[in-house]
Amino acid sequence: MKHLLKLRLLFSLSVLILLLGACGTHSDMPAMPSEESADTHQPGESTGILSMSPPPEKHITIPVKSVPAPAKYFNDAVFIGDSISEGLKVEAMYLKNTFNTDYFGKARFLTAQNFGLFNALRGSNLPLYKGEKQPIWKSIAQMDITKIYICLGMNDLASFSVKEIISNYKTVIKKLLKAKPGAKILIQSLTPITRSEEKNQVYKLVTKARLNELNQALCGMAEKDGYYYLDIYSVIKDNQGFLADKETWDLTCHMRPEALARWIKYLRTHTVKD
Amino acid sequence: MRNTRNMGRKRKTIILTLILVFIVTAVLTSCSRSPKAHVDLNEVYEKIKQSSVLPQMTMVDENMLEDAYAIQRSDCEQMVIEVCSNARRADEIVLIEAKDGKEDKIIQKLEKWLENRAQYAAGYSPEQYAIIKKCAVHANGRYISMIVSPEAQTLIDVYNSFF
Repeated sequence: MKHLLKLRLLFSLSVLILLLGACGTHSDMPAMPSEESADTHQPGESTGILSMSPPPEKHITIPVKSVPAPAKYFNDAVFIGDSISEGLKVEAMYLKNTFNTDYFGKARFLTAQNFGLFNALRGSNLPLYKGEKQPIWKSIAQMDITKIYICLGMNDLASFSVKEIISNYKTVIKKLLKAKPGAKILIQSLTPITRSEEKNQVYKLVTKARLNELNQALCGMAEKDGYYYLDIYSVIKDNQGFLADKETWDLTCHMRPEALARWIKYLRTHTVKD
Repeated sequence: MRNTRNMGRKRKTIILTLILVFIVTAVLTSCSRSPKAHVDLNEVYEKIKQSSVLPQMTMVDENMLEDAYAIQRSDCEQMVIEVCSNARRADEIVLIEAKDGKEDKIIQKLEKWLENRAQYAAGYSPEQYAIIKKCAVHANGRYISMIVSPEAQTLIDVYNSFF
């Protein structure tokens, strides 16, 4: 008898423990709906005790490839960059105004030659906005945007370590998000350089190896801090990891339309939910 | 006798009248310094393109007009703004017909734009910097131009032929 009682007790305790374990207070466990909340469910939704709220969406750092987004997707976007992004801007305008092919809608461009993260923080070579050179976060604050595309770092690579660049990147993003809380940050990888540039050592520290190192660090930062990462490098490079000489204006890193077309296609097909 | 005299007088009158008309017409056409009533800037740009001096150019978006140049579209009657498709080159054509009273404002904005462009170019290309520094903003009544090119004078001559 006693034995049976013990068994029953043990059984009840086990069930209790199991139930408590399933409904534990772990932060990412979905909450069990109470009987009260069952009345607030929409038609078609399960109201049984086992129905749970959907788990929070896991952040996907690199957007999955999809059908090309319409131009209006970029209406609330701004592209921040240096002379390489200036090329993107001009090409987009050329396609729109010459062939009536609008890819970027009303996207804004905050770009300038020789711009970089260090310059952004130091206040030099700042992109113009409304005719004035001002910190990019001040310009952003005046815009009606929700998506911030950033393609910076090439000009920093010539003078700074990857660690320093990442640190500056984080500071710049912090300032951008302070100016535009809730904006989506889309970090674009650096784009490749030509064999000629590496061989001629135009800038000693700007090499394919360091570019790759920085891109990996950028991807890691995006993943850790909840931003998006766009691997533009992968669609521009040739099979040896360089930008083809014939696809540049100046045998360095400034792309001609053939390479820019791949960049544009990548941007249109790797989008984030609005 | 009288008839001959009368005919002589008539002839003199006609000749004098013709000379007067000719002088007045000559004075009016040659001394006129104001621009023609209307110049179609698209036509001007087409003529500029025919000079074969420009590289491949691309038209600038209207939303860039305010963002970058800080010029209001509403201050312009018509405009043609083109930049080089190779963003590393300084070539740029800005032709604007300002609305009445907006000329000075537009000139000021373009001068500032040119100054900024020179500053950027100083950082990456002495050659492009030199090209920009040789160029200036010009006004012909309400018609304002800013022509940046290594062959700027050739293009300016084409532009001026319309005025």
